[in-house]
Amino acid sequence: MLCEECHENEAEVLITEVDADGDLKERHLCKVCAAKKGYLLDKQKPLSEMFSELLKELGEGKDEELRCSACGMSWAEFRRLGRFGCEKCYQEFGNHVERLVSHIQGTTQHTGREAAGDQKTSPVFVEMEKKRLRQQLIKAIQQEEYEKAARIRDDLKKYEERTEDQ
Amino acid sequence: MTSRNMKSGLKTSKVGAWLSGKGPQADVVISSRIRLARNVAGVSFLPKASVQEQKELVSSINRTLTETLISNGRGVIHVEDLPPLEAQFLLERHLVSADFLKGKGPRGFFATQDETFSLMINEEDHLRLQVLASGLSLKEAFERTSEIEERLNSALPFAYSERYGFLTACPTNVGTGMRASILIHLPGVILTREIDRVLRGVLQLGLSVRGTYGEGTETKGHLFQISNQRTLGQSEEEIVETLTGMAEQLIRYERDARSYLMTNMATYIQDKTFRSLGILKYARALTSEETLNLLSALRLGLPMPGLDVATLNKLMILSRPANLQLYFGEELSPEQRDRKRAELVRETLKDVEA
Repeated sequence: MLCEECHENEAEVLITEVDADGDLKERHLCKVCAAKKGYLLDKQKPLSEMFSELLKELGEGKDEELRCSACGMSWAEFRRLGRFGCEKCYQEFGNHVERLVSHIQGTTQHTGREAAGDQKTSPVFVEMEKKRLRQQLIKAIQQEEYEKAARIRDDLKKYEERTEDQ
Repeated sequence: MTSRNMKSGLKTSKVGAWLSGKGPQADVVISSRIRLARNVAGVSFLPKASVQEQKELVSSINRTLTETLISNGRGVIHVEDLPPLEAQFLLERHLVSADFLKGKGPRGFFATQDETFSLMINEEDHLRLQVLASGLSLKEAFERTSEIEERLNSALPFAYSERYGFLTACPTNVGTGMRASILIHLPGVILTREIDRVLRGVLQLGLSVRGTYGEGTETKGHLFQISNQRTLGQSEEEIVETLTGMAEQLIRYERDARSYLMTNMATYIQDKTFRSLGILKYARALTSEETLNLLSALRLGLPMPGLDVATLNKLMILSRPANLQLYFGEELSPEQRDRKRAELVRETLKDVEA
């Protein structure tokens, strides 16, 4: 069946509505005409679409090579994926993130619940931190960055003392 | 294939308690859902996490879960080992996302027996928690989510900053990391042509609407999912309040529209409902889509002797392809499915009278 409005496209949408006289009327329309008449809900741009458009515009041409020192993600890579590589990216890409978040969210300040105040002292976290620091320590020694290695060793010590205290 | 062989331990013949139809206004609002996104502090987000790190995330979250929340010892299952049919079954039951199933690395899944609490490990974020509840129960669903989150957070640190709140892989989720949504059935508002005006009000409140109507057949999309668009700058309570307020308004519009239709167009509505019932009760082959459309028409006809919201909700899930096959315990071709679907529907609705 062809669309009752344009008589060109295949009718894919059956609209039932109450007209001005209170009678029910059924009309067969194509998707284009249905959308034009406001029957299909496509007026709202999905957040994902808005987000990818923003990614294209923001920071184009500059700072493409800017990298997060923690995970190594570049700004160009983020703009391609739309996903950060780690929590530190939020700081490392400072101004870019601020503009992006403010565009998407309309604000840049969290007002909701906070993370547990003592979460960084939990055994799981301490174990993970120790593991991470040990790996960093090995890497620093391999790269002969002894000052850095000494700092990491001190941090590691603090964690180990704390675990012994408990 | 019986429930015993389900890796997830879920029952193939029962649906989640959130489909019980027992929640407030459950004849219009099918369900309420709260989803939280969290990442474990100190571990790279998924685009940069190594396979080893992803593995460790599954095991450390599993450990935390079994230590702080669940006592029966059954922990997360590994999604990469899941038979494709069971994976599809979980998707049809709204317990996992399509993206999660498409993923490649180590991923974990857990759901309680009643399917009201579930979690995904290594979806877009390390952790996605979901609580589902029957009817308009966003507040209760949020309170439960929040309690679960706090317990997990007592053992597991989450990536968090004072400024941006809970840090997520995608900045569209940052802050509360929370998405609250309702699934609402609005046939009356659509039939009386009020839908446009009504939905404009929803968008103005900064909420987002998914679901089209009129597409394919007129009944298919009478269901809408409405959720908060923004996750930052509002507290969780404010998000829940805004959405609940909007839902209450929509329910009023829908009830007004239905009573208008029943006063002025009773024959049309009854004809539609009973024709749908006739097909469902006597058809020998039903496609998945046709079934959903007919069930939607029946929903508008409630209350009806011998029929309740729970039965409609149950059929809505069990008639989907993977659920249907697991319900009957065998793999079926599309033609066999249509026959078995008709059998299930016929059996379920046999005592419903027009």
